[in-house]
Amino acid sequence: MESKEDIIDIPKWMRLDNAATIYPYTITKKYAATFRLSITLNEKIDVIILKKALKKVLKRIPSFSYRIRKGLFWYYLSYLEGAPDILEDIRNPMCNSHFKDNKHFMFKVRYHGSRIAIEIFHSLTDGMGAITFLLTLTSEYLKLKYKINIPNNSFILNTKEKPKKEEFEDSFKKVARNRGKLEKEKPAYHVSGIQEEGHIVNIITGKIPIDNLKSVSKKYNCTITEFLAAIMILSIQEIQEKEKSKRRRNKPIKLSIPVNLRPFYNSKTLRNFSSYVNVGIDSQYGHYSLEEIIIQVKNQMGMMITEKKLNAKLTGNVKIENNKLIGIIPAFIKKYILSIGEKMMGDRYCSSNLSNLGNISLPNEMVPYLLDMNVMVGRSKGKPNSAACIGYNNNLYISFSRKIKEPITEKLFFTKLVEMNIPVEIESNQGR
Amino acid sequence: MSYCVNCGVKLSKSEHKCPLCGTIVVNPNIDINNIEEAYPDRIEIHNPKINWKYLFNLFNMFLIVFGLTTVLCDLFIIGKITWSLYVLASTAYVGIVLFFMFLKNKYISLIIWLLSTELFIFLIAYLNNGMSWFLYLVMPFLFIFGIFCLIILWIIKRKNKNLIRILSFVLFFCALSIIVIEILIDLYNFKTIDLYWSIFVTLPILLISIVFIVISCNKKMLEEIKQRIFI
Ligand SMILES: [Zn+2]
Repeated sequence: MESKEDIIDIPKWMRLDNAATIYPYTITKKYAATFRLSITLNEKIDVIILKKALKKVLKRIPSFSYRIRKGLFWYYLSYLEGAPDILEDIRNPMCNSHFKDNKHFMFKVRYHGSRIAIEIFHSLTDGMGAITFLLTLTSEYLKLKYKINIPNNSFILNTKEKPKKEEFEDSFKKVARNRGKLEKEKPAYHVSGIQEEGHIVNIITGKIPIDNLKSVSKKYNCTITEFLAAIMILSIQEIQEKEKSKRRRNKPIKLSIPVNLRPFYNSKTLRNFSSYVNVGIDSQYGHYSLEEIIIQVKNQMGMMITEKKLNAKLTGNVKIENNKLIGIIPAFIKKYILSIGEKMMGDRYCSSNLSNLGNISLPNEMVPYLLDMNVMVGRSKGKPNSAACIGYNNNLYISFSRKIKEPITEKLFFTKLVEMNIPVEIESNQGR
Repeated sequence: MSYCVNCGVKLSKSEHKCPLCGTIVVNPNIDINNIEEAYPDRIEIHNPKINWKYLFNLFNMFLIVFGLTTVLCDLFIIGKITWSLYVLASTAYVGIVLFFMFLKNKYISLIIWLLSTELFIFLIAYLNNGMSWFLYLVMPFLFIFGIFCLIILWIIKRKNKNLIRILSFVLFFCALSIIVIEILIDLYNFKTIDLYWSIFVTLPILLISIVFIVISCNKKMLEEIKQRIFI
């Protein structure tokens, strides 16, 4: 079953993958590109068993046991022994970016009641790597606690197997070709609001039945992601049309939508391997109806999410990393340059983002124990808010995390769904 | 289960008000005290802790070792304490100033800094036969500077800050100090007081200071200026 060549000797150190390279340079005292995945079980979490399960899973997925270190020219990953402590959950998830407080591990495991959550720094992996880690951890926990048998699938790895080479690979470098192209973009409109303090993030999660979403997107002849993106753009358009300044009214509204690259190249990596596309409307040409927005989103996504376009983009990025001239700039100067670059490139060119991890189907043995799932993105540096969603057990969980006080986008988004007879159940971290 | 009457969304059990619009949920069938919150109350804030006391103690230890080493070197090489006295005095000076710098009461730390500086320079002057230079020039200059610092500190600590009045006060004190400085220099050099250059410096400063005082007393004028130069 396993041949010797597939198994990897865990490297003591390694380069960051191409997508991960940028993130360490953007860390500030208050910000690190972090996201969070959580699952709720039907019973209170047993921390001792969870700790045991975590140790087991780290043996199977050792790419999570790395810390970030600064070399002379680049940041790199260096292997860590042991496991991070299991932490109690908090009201402001993903806001503390100090890995030192966490034995240098770049991910945190938190629990609250019957919920397990992992917070992950983006240099470690993307959404797909994270969901594999969390579900393998959960299945290991359930196996230890209830002595049940859970079959493995693409999200649930067999912890008896050894880690594989393909899970460690930097797929970007592997699939990059000779010609790359990075598109130029226009700055996008940002919803304005009163900024919260640096350690506060406001989260609103909506639980929506997938059947309702399916039927309505069928009506508009689009996918669920396209439909949700269109509703978000429609909500932001409503806010933008009330802006007093003409310059702000004329800025395009764009959503950044991450794209998992694994299916295109049959990659099994557990490190980063995703790209993103910016889709939206150009507000200066007038008001767009929902139908018009859906057509825009659908066609733009269709055009951009093709192997050739995605490859051109990732090749462009790999070329930058491989550029020797950029390479020899000392890391501390790079940090300065790249953090300015990121400020100008990333958040500036999208109004918000919408990550969809897709519908997660689990083995029947596991489903009765798992009540729900959730995914959210940490406070952004530039954007007022961001959204992420995941489907599980015929429900879609969409979480908005925002750094402004006013939930204006969220309110419009959810009330629009309610007006279309799609029921929404809301949960938040804003307390009593 | 409750619904928000305003937005129409269903609210999870843990929500006591609608997170979208702030409307308070009233559901007599649910006992809000028995429901677990979706997120705990604890907020995590990272405060980097620098152990100042530890750093300071380390530094003091270093100073003591440093001072003792120089004294020993001096004793072994020359046979008596000569140049090491300077090193000893400077390390003691730095140690004392640092020790009192972290006092809560900044007036006391400032006064101690002033006195120890005077003492330190006195020692150097005494060892080099420079007593008249010290007594007539350095000591008074330092005192003027110290009083100036105390006044600035007092102004900074005051809650009610009338910027223009503060400025006029500082200017007035500057003018006064300049005159005193010329008097001191004259006394040291010629043993007589013959004011000359300080008058040219002082007069314009005093004039500006008076203008500021007049402005600061006139509320209407102050408002007028504020609205024209606000940033
Ligand atoms: Zn409401």
